[in-house]
Amino acid sequence: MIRLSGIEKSFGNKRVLRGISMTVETGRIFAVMGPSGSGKSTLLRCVNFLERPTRGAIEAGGRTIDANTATSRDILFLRNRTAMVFQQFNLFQNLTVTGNVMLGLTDVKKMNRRVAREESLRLLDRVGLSDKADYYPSQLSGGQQQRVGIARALAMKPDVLLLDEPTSALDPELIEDVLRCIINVAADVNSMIIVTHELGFAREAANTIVFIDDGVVIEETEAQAFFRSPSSERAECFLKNSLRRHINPSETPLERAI
Amino acid sequence: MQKELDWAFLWKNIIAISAKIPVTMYLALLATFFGVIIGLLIAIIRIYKIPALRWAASAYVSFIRGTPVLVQLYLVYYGVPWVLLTAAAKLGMAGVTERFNPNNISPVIFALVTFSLNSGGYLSETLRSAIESVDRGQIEAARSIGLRESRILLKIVLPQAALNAIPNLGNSLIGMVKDTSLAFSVMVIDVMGEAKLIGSKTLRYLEIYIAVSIVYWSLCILLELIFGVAEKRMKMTRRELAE
Repeated sequence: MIRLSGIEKSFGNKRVLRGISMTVETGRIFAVMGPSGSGKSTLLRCVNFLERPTRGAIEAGGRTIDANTATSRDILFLRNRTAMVFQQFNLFQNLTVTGNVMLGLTDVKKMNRRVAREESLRLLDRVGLSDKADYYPSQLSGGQQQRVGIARALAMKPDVLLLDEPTSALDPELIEDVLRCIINVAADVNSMIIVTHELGFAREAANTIVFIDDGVVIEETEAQAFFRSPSSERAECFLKNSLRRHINPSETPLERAI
Repeated sequence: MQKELDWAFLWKNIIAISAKIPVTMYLALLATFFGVIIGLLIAIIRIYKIPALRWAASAYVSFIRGTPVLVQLYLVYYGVPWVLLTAAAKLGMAGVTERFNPNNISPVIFALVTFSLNSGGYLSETLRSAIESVDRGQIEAARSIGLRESRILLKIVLPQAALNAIPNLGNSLIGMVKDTSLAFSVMVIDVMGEAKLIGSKTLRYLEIYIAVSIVYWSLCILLELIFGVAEKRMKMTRRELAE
């Protein structure tokens, strides 16, 4: 379980998040949606303190960590209970695929190298990349790199897995692969928060949709209900615009995927 | 009357001077090695904005870049023994300086200290940009799985920064080979020192300076070749990886 209370974040004078609260119970998958610039990614990056929130608190693993008083020890505690999948994959270029997955296990979880290697190979198999174990990231396609990113995050067995627009840097024909992969591993994960623009994917994968605009939560609705009829006008408008964009230019990869 | 150039003399002394190449290379290689260590420390202090040390590091780099190496060499040569002797006297340890007199320290050590400090100042900038060129996204990814900053530096940043820095390190070493010619000012008999000694004995200065320039030039061409090959190899492994 992870609970965000009153998260605020400003960059200079610009208030990007204006007090966001949500509770993600174990077993739940939240999709955070909203227009560009609404603060979705910033919110996700505040959860593991890649951005330090200006105000607010995060509760995880039985501890409440306040943005104003968080020490580097608190931040490590939080990061040990979360893991992140990035838009740009961010694989370690100097390590092999296995090395990428293993690093957290040997270095953070202090696992024996042999055990860590076995665990990594098991996870790579899970994301369908056991044949690429000894490759370097630069030898892989974007979709494959992102699946390594997912395996690397899964290895940490986080309370909550954070996915920051995991398919928006991918070529359209590779998106399906990665979305399938996320849906496949969802069963192994305690809980997830996904920032995504892929409507069909959010609808299939998520239990709850959190719709954010201008740094505030506009609505938090059960996923099926959200796509049937969102309760706020802004969300309805957003859905209409997105659907128009997605349906008109023939079939989009996301509709093929789902 | 104008003297003829003595070619045989010139040739013979290229060989005599070359006998001191090991001294020059020893100075240049060790100074660059210590320079990398000092430069790395300074780069890390400046990148991580470590309070207090940060200002000291800036002042140090500014001083190194703002004064001639020759001046730095004299400062170390005269300054270090003075500091040691004064400190020993103040601490009432005059007895120590009788057995171990700072004035007897080999001039090579003073030269080595100076050139190490000097190259450390310059290399700190090279290393800083090599470190900063490592993709920030990878650092964030390492943080997101709970790695400590020191481990991120060791496991992710430095291995990639080292590859970025190799071409510049080659240039620094070549620069250092030439800078060490100043070591003769504090009585180190390196390539330049040997040339000056022969010159003053035979008074055939022009031949000697032609000889010494040929020695330095050949040495630098050789080093350029070595680093050229190393760089090409590195690029090749990178390309192989990318394919």
